[in-house]
Amino acid sequence: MLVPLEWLREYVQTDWTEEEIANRLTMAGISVKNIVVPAIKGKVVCAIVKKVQPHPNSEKLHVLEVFDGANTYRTVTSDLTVGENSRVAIAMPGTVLSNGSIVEPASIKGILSEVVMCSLEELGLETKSEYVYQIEEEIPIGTDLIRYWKIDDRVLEVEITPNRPDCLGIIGIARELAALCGAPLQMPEIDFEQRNEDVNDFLKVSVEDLDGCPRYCAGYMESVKINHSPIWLRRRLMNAGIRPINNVVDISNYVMLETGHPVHIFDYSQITDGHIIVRKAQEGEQVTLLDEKQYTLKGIETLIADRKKIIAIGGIMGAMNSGVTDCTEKIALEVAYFNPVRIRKSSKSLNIKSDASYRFERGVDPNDAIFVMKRLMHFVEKIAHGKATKGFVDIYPQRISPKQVFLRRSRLHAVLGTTVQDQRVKEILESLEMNVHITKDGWKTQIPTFRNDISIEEDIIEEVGRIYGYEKIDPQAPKITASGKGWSDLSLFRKTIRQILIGSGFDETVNLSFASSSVVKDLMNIDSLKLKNPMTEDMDCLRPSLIFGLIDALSYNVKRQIKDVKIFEIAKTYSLNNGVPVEREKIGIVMMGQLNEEDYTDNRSASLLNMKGVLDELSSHLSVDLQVVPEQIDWLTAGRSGKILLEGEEIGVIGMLNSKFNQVYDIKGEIYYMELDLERIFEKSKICRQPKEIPSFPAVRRDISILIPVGFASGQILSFFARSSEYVEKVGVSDVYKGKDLPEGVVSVTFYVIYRAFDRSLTDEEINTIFEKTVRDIEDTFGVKRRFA
Amino acid sequence: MFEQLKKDALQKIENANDLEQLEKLRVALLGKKGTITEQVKTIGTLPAQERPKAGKILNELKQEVQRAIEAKRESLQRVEAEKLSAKMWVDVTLPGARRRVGHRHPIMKTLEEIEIIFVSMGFKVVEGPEIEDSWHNFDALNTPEWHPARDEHDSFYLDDLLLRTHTSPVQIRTMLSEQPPIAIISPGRVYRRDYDATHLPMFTQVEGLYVDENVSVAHLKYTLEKFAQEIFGKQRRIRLRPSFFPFTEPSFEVDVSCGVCGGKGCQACGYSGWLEILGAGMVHPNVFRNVGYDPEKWTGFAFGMGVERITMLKYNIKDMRDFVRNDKRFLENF
Ligand SMILES: [Zn+2]
Repeated sequence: MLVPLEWLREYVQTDWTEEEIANRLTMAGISVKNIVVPAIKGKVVCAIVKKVQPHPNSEKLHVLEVFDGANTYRTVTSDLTVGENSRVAIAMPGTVLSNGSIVEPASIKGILSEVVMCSLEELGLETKSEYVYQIEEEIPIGTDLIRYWKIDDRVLEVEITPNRPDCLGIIGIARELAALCGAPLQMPEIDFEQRNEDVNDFLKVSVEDLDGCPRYCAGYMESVKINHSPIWLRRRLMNAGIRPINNVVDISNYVMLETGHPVHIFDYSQITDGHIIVRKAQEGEQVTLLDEKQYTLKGIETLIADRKKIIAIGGIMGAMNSGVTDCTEKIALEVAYFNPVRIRKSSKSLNIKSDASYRFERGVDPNDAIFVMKRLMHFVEKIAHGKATKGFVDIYPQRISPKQVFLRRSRLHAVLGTTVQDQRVKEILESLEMNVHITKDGWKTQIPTFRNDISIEEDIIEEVGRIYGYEKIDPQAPKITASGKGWSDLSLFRKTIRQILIGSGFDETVNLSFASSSVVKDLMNIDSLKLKNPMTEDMDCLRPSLIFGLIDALSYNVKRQIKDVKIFEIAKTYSLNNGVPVEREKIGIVMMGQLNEEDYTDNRSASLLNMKGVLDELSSHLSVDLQVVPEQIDWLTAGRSGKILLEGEEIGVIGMLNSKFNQVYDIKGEIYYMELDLERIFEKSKICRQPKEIPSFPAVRRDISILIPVGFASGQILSFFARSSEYVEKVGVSDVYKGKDLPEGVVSVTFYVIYRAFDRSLTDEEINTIFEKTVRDIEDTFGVKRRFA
Repeated sequence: MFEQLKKDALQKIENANDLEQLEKLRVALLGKKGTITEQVKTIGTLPAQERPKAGKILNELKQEVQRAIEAKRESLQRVEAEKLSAKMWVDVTLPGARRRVGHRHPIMKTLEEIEIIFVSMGFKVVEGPEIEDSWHNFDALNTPEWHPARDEHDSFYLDDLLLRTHTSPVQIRTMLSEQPPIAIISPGRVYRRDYDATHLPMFTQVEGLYVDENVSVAHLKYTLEKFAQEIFGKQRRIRLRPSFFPFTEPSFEVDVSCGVCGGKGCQACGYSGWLEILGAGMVHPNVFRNVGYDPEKWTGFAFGMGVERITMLKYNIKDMRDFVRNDKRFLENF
């Protein structure tokens, strides 16, 4: 909200500077984000036009002489309506105008124009002007107008939390300021003449929707003259961010900004029989509002209507058919209290956010209606020459009374952790217009109805705290008793995995959890968990695999010539299981380009077996048996993919992404990917295993090269060896050879087996026998041959 | 008398090719049975008046030969060392054959730091689901459906569930399953519909909760000041600025004094001297009632912070989107 300082100071006399006001309000919870300084700067004075002459070189221009009481200046204007004796605002050279332009003497078609005659736009009093402003007020020639009209007044940009609708009016903020600086709050004038005719002779109000509109107060005025508003009113509205329209509309906006209570003014002649009916909308009813758009109602709105038509959606916006126009003479004034929840529902469903709905949905004071009505009529009388009848129509069958809340002294001190003097507490609460009685145990308070945020003891504690000042509370160490270790086992397990992967050269990434459902469908042929209200189409679902996200990071780097990428992410993936959304924590690892880019002695590229090496390292560190089984997976490259098993259960995949990924993400090169289910591995991991006994007898090693045809899974041979004898300690592969001397499609794999007994030294003979038998069994079982027979 | 002997000895020493040869020579000349030693033994057979002179000359000869051997030994050692080092030479000014270690993501790095600070104060790290129902995310936290405070939590919906907008639901879940005293922090990913240089639709939050008897604003102030000083530096101060959250009363925005200007005001802090780092407050009695705690018996404080924001302040990062771009050159800084 924008709060012009000069306006604010009308209600509170304080010698605090604007910075101090801003700071004190901020520290009381009225957050001042900025002090806006208007652009206008320099000298603008009131001058009179002495002479008007045609421009010698243009029919569209006039050359004028203007006199400011001391000097006469020449100026050229395209506004031919400015005549002799018109009073105008002239800006002297060097002056910066509201739109940012700087006044400089300039030759216009051969005539030197020394000063500028300002329009309201240039003075910051209108958003768009077509003419020079001709001053209507009686202002002496030579008056410094920037100062006189206070158009360089500074404005506080304030952020009001949703619990403080009372501060959505300048008086509300003034009340806070008054409480802070100890000065009284000066309420504005509300006097006006009331004629003898009774308001009820002109207006009738029936409220059928009391739930939506607990109070409806209406007034009637006539002889209204629609015109534009005086400068001071325009300036305040402009500084508060509202465009001036005409005096009556401006007054209604002004009173809303001042009191925080939105009001509405109807053209009385448009209300059939002068009878206002407040009723609930019917579904499907249609109305065109002041924003010139047509709306179809949902049936939850509170309508202001007459016998024939809707004239406003209560608390939200007036209808086109009954707004004030230039010809309006008689007006009906509305000051109502609408149900906040009903307003919020209506405003959401119609998708209308107005200054009125914003305030009503937060809750205005139901009990200031008469004050607001009087303030409104005061202005309509003073500014628009309106004449009021006697009294108001006020439908308020169930009065909303102030709440009573008791504040215990013990509770106050316990919650704040400090002691505040009884008298100071009373002072603070009274400065916020609460009624306070000190008792033996605390304070009996009555809360004014404009503070709908206060209903329990804690709310009052906050009031005391924020005015008293939290900086006065001394910090005090809490006595926290730690319960158990700081992290869960899962959380510590995750940390270990991160350390292993980072140590293995992978950069940790954080990626958005969103993906595009059409990309997911295209690449993986699965349906993803869709968001009901995505921000964009390419983030319309939750990712079913971490590859969506990791590949965005990869592509971001590749596009910047960074082609050696080893990254991982540990995060949730999402899917639907029997219609129920399920989230599972996964580890996703991507590898591309050089395997060890910083090591110039190693020029290997990333490969599937290197990725599997990462898996084997995880197996070893985490004490789990992660096995890879060849498996054709759609989105991975044929021949280079497998599923990862843990005790027979599939817990992940490994492979090279298929070329569709390369196309979609525009990446050239082989991309290796592995994804593991973190939670499953955690459940099976025995990180706290006992160390194996260190053997004291020597081992015997045997090697054998076996010719393996394409498509054969060598893992079978490894497991065969592993099961072949009680003395097998370890089996492995020491070399994979592809040479011209081997037949096409065959590689030679050298396996090694380490034998050891725990209680004696094995002899060469017994191992030779065992090994030879095993190799023969392997040849027979799998139909493979040793390389050197 | 011994001139020839001296000349031969020095010549042989000069001609020695390696240390081994030189050592043999030393033994042949100066050893127990060496030529010079033998000569010294003959002095006794000389006439008495010649003995001193002969003794002196022989002694000088012995010393000169010794010096020559030493000098030759040093020179031979030098030569051998040079030969050896040429054979072993590695150019140590070449770059190391480096095995690159990966980097922690800055968000995770800050998060770890935050966790360690609170764990060392006695808090426990608790996690919870990202897909929540609106009771845990809003209603239990005293934010009914039509409350305007929901405007600041523009949520992503999945039919009747939603993506949590903060990690406060974890606090609700913890309070429903445990009895006070409770001291927990809940880190995790949260989701709001917002995307620009200072907002991500997914970001990382750490929320904290402490519930016990007689917990006060003074305790909250101590805990959060300690935290700010641990994460930003010992000189930092905090201030509590009254604010509003539906689940706390009183509520605060917590600001930390600006590290650039020390609180005087500068461009970094928007000339206020303070930087907003987190939200906090005393747990609202309705929240306690919703989880079945007696608000008369228990009080508590809660706080919540965006890890991205803390990281941006700590490392002076301007664009929040950098965190999810994962540019390798960016990640390598952490
Ligand atoms: Zn600063």
